[in-house]
Amino acid sequence: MSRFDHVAAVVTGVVATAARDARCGTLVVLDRAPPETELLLRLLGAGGCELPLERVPAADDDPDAAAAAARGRRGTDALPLDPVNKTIAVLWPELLAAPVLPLADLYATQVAALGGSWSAPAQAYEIIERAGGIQAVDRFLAAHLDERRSLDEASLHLDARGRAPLRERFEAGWWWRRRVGVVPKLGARTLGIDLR
Amino acid sequence: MSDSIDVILAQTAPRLRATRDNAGDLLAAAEAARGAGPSLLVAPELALSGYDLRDAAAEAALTPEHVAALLAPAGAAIAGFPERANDGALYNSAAHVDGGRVVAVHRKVYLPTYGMFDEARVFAPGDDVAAHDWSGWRIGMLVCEDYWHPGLVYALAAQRIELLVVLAAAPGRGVLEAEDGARFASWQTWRRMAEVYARVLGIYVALANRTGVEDGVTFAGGSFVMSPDGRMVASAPEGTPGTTVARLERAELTRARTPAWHGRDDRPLVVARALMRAEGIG
Repeated sequence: MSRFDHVAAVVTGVVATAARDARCGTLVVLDRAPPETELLLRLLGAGGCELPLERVPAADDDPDAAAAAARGRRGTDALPLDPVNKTIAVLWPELLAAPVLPLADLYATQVAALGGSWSAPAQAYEIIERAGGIQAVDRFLAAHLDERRSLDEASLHLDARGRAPLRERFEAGWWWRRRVGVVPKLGARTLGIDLR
Repeated sequence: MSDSIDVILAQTAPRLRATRDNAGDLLAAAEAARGAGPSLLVAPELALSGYDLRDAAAEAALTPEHVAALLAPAGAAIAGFPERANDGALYNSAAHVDGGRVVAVHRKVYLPTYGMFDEARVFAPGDDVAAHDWSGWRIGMLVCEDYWHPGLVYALAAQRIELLVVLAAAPGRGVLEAEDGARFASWQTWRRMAEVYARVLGIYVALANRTGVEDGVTFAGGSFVMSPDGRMVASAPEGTPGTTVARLERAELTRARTPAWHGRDDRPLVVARALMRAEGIG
């Protein structure tokens, strides 16, 4: 099996178990942007997910509305999935809308490696670019979260002119990160499990 | 005394609080794999209850006698369960049962309470490791985190065990870092440790790890039996439930312990004196 298949097996297992335990028969993907949504669909397909799945357009600034609409239409049978990547989930956790976040243990660069590209809410791009781009931001996050280096040391991976706004984003997310939904554990520290 | 036994590794995916269903999975594994000779079913940590019980541990708790009754049709079995002790305390325990009677119980000594684990909030720690005899084999039992404390493995080896049985509910981690076709990088470490324990101590190591999912955690599976010379006798796939059978031969123990069996030359009292000194005793 390839690495893609291993990721697919874990992601699909967590999603399927969540649906079983929540007694939901339909998956609803909050479709913010194509890269993550397409990757999630490919992973669920490779993992053998047999549950019916519906895509619901979701605005970056109001994904809650999409989740509510989906559940309003389908009732409690619908389990919303938000395919946000880990970079965004860590830095903009207040935008997370679903009880299951299937890709939130994959940094944006890892999403790109598996699926070809990545996305972020409109308000995130400028902050990421000023901090040195997505490679630098993911390196900063991995150094601090996974390698447990101090914020100051990890911040050296960031471009000096964009360092402060990005660190402020990271600090602002602390309260929200303690309230995220189910995230399939793939790496060293995972939102909702051992990263808060 | 049996010159050989079949170890049946029941790599199940227990569901939280579903004791009857979980026991049913173990009985089905025993039934499907049972051969003509003596066999020992080995099931994962908390196989009867699921792992992340939190406050539900109290209602899911069993006595060893309950476990013996539940698993009586399986014959001989070692399985993990939340134990309710006479004084009301809860333990994360392994019971060796055989045909409806309790052979031995081990209470997990080291309860991981760090990172993603919170066991000490629920369970009390055990305070002993003791070898026991079954079908002519000397057996030691450990539960998951115990295995990461070599002192416990050594303490059992000093009691002349021939088979170390480890029950685990080990999560899989490091999917993107895993090598050589493995699913989880974390599981490779467990195998390397078994190779060292088996080879250095001249013992069989049988390790049953659970699979399945609880919330975001996927349990790694990958159960195995390691021979006394550090070879993989049998292994189950990572990530999927299944049953794997391995035959353990006394002749293999003898062969691996000849000509150099470190256990024969070992001097536990030297270690004991050093440990007492380290603890400020004597």
